[in-house]
Amino acid sequence: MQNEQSIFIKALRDPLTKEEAFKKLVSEYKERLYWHIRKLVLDHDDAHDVVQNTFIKIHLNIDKFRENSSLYTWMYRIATNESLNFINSKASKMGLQNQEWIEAKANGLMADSYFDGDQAALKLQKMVAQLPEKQRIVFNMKYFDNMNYETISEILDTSVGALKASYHHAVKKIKNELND
Amino acid sequence: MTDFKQHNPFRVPKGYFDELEEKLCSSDDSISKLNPFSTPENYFEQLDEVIEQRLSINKRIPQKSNLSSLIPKFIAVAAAIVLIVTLFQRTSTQEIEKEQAFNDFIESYYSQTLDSYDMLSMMEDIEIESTFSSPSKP
Repeated sequence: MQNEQSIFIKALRDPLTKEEAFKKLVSEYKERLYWHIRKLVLDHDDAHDVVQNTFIKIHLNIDKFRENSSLYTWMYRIATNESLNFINSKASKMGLQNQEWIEAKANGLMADSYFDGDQAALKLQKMVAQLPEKQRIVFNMKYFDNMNYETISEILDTSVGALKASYHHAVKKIKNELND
Repeated sequence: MTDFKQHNPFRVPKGYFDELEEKLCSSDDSISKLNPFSTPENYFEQLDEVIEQRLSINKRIPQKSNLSSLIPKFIAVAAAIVLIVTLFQRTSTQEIEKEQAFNDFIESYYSQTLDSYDMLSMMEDIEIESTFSSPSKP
């Protein structure tokens, strides 16, 4: 597996094979990265912008990838950072805090033509939007993407213990809101 | 009796509860039910091409490092232009101010040292006529 990854990374770095290898990479990971980004930025158009920026960053920085984590983890980290930078930039342009911007996005989901959820799904999204940024990311990755703590730990560069605590707090807050 | 109650004779495999938590959350059905978001039709089929186009555009745009090296040069040229314009404007303003001061001095000298008769005697006849024929200021 590790050897297979090394061969693929070599192909991504070689100017002769880079283009073809990158096409394969996009085809393999586009959906997973898109859904990860979409759950963070909520809006399809925003996710579309961020997923493109993510792949551009991957293409530009593949030579800097040190192979001390899996390629998948590294790309997820770029996607997460790009999403957070995007939210930060949009929020600051509107003079809002990041969380205020996300809450506004969540409140507008019912009017979004690419949101098919019912009232319960909408309520859940609104509650997730109210979580602090770190808890929101961990909750999305654990609850919606079913990632294990070890993978999330690698992506977010946070200890498993801290992630478990974040997830526990997030679930507790959401349960409390649902019971009210 | 007390000892018997306190001792739990049952054991679970190592990491059992972590795995149980994973399994409870990893039903494929729950993912599709939980994801309330959708995309435009054929979005993922077209995404490869969109990214490819973005990459080709990116390759045509000059690298950031080239742009950043041009910025200080641009600022230096702009600063030089601003400096030259400011100096030129200051020089012309100073010349106008000097000329005005000289005219003011001549006017005040004549008005203090000469009376109207002296002034008239220094003027040509034609100048006197034009001065009196022009309408007087209110």
